[in-house]
Amino acid sequence: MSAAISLAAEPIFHVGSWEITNSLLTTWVVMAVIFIAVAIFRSKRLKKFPKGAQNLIETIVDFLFKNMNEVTGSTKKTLTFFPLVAGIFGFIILVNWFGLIPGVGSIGLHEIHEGKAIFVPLFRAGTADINTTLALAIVAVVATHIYGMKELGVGKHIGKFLVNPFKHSPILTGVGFLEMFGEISKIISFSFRLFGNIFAGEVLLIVVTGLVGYVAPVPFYFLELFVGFVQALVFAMLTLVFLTMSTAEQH
Amino acid sequence: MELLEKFGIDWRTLIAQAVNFLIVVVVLWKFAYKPVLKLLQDRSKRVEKSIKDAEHIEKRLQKIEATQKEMIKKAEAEGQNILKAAEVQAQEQSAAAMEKTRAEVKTVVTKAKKEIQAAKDSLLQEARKDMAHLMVQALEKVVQTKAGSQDQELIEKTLQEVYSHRKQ
Repeated sequence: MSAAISLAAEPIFHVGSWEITNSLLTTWVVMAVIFIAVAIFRSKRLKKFPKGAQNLIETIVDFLFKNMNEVTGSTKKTLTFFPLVAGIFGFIILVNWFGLIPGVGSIGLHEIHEGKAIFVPLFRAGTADINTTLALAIVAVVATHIYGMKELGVGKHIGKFLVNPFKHSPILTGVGFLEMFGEISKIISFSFRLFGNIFAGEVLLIVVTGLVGYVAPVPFYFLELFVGFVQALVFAMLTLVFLTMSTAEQH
Repeated sequence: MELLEKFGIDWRTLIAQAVNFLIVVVVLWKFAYKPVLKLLQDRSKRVEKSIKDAEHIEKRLQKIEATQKEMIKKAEAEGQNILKAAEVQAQEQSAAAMEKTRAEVKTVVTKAKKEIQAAKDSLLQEARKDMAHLMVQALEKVVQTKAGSQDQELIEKTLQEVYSHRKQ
């Protein structure tokens, strides 16, 4: 068995000139699952004494809320950032874990591409595609700027990056430029950290499964479950840190 | 640009994923996180409130107990005072009653004494008169003559003298 692992997501079909990739397809599947789960969850009334799914969601919300409170230091700020940060966590962890379901990455079509026979999996973890992680990173970083402008005012927020060298020290002007590059590096580190971890995990699982088919991959599946959780948490918490920093008054 | 191609970066897919993500964020927040978060906050508020209430109740209970003790002490002291006062009053009253009876007895006794004295005096006076009369009659018998009125006067005078002499 030899699976040529492509760095880029493989196209499944075309809509006009737009290639619908397997990672995008998987993301839609995950979204559908989320919508159905939420609909089922909402069809029942919330109880004072939680049971089953409510217990699970309560635990997650409580866990996130407490961790976020430790970073922001104020409940008010945590509540403002909660939708985005908890959304990032929920989306990424589900997309990550969906990639671990048997069939994702192994069910596919054999296609002839440029004269070579290649295997094209039908599903691919959404976060194992740089498009997804880059989109998440851009949304997260843009959100930090939106919240920063909302909290401090547009002028003051932009003033962090563009400093008049005649009014202030020219060193601060240089620092402002560095900050600007910092924003770009944030996007790059965000997207490549998540993509790298998940993509590497997929590769690792394929390789281990190729070497020893039975039992041996099990610990690696556990490892990947853990990695999926940690990466989601890291992405969410880093976003929270950047949000907190951009809304904080400068000294 | 070659790097972008190698990673398969396609701005349409990128935008699609961003939109997908934002939809998921909205759905999760509106239908899962928000109601649960509200529930959790309400619950923690309720717990906080009940703890505070319990503390408050305990404090009040302690206060009430303290006032109760104080009141009991006060009541005891008051009772003692009333008892003492009653005792004193009773003693005073009995003393006064005793005094009154004593005084009454004294007046009765003195009155009785006076009456006795008066009776004695009048009795003596009568006796003296009778005696004088008797003596005059006796003298008449002895002398066989009827004594004049001067003689009667004389005898009475003599008796008076004798009597006053004896009295002295």
